[in-house]
Amino acid sequence: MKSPLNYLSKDDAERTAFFDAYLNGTLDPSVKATFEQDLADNANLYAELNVHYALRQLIAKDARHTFVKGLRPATTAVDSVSDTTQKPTITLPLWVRSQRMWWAAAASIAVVVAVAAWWLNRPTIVPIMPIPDMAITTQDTTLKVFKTMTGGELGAVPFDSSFTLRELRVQITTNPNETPQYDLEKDMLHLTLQKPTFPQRIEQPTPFSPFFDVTLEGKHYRLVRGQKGLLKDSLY
Amino acid sequence: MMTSLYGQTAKICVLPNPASLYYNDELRCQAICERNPIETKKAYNEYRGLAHCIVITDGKGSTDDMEDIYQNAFEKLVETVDAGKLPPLTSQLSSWLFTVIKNEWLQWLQTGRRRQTHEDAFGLKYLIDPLSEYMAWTDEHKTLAIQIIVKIFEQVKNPKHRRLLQLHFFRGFTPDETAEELGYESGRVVSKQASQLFSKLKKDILEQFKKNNLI
Repeated sequence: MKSPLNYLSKDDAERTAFFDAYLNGTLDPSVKATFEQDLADNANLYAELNVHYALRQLIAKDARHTFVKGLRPATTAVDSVSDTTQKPTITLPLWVRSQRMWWAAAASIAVVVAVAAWWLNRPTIVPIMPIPDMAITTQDTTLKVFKTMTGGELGAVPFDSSFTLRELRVQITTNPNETPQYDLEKDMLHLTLQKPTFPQRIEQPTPFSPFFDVTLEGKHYRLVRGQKGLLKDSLY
Repeated sequence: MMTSLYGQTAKICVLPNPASLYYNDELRCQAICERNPIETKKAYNEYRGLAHCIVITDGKGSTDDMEDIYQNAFEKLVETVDAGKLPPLTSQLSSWLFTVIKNEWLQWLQTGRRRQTHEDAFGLKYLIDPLSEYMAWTDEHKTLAIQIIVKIFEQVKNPKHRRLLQLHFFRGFTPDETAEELGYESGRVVSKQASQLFSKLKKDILEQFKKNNLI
């Protein structure tokens, strides 16, 4: 049996307050039980309560939206719709434009003068001279040089064996597949063998200390085995 | 330095000062809850770097995208603070916001939309779930109901009326405080006008529901 809903006022304010009290859980328990019974029976009442609740949430969300929108920086607080609107064109007065033109001309002249000054005083680049002993390229020569350097065998290096490092580097890098790879990088000399065609791998911990005469640089270097080809200033 | 969305490392991140995070998070939440404009604005500006990092640096999005996404994320923060869920904090506020912004951005990319549509702009879907179940609405009915609610609510164009509803029904201002804030004669006038406005919205919505055979 439907309740006559006598407890529900027709007055807007009182009715709103009643729904609020129910949603906030502050309604009198006996009235609440009756109201819930009516909610189960009366679809319109149930819909009204739900719409009431949805509107309250909508107002809350609207309030938050307004609040947070006010926090956005003023320049970005516009909607994307404004992106499509045409921006007003600003025409600068003639005296400003002419002044800017003079400044631009002065800046251009300053740049030209700076470039010309640099060009006239640019550092002189000394061309790299071709290396005279580029011809040593064959495997025989390499082997010969290598064997001479190591005294035929690793471990029996004569003290007075000395070679130009530049020569050694040139002959080796021209035939990388068959010769030991020497690569001078700063003060490091890296030694590896690509193919095991040599009697012994050079990486083995063998006493090996030939002297190289780096003629162009005018310095002497000693290759120390066991230290991964570290080149040190020689006492020679 | 922080991990990006795509497993890369964002090189340029404008993050808030980590030293101030733990100390000030609760104060920030309190300021937001109290709607302290200066402190909230400070917090808003402080964490904008997170959105910049996610949307622009990592996501190659535009500044407008970043601002919109950050605004949505911050609204969620305000909503969560209002609901009393954040303090005491279980994580840093920046971490919380970072996750929300990241999710917003991913959702933004998935849906490929510039602006949220009216249907879900206010997140009403879950609000009318009970009514939808009660009335055994289909999805179309539900969408229509949400459209009706939002459309009628949007008809309140007057900012003063909107503010009146917000203060009276949401912010918990007394009628006298609302009257003082909005320049009404008395609190009684405020109560009457707010209730009338609210009831009219409710009636209009219910009428539209009936007209569309929703109830």
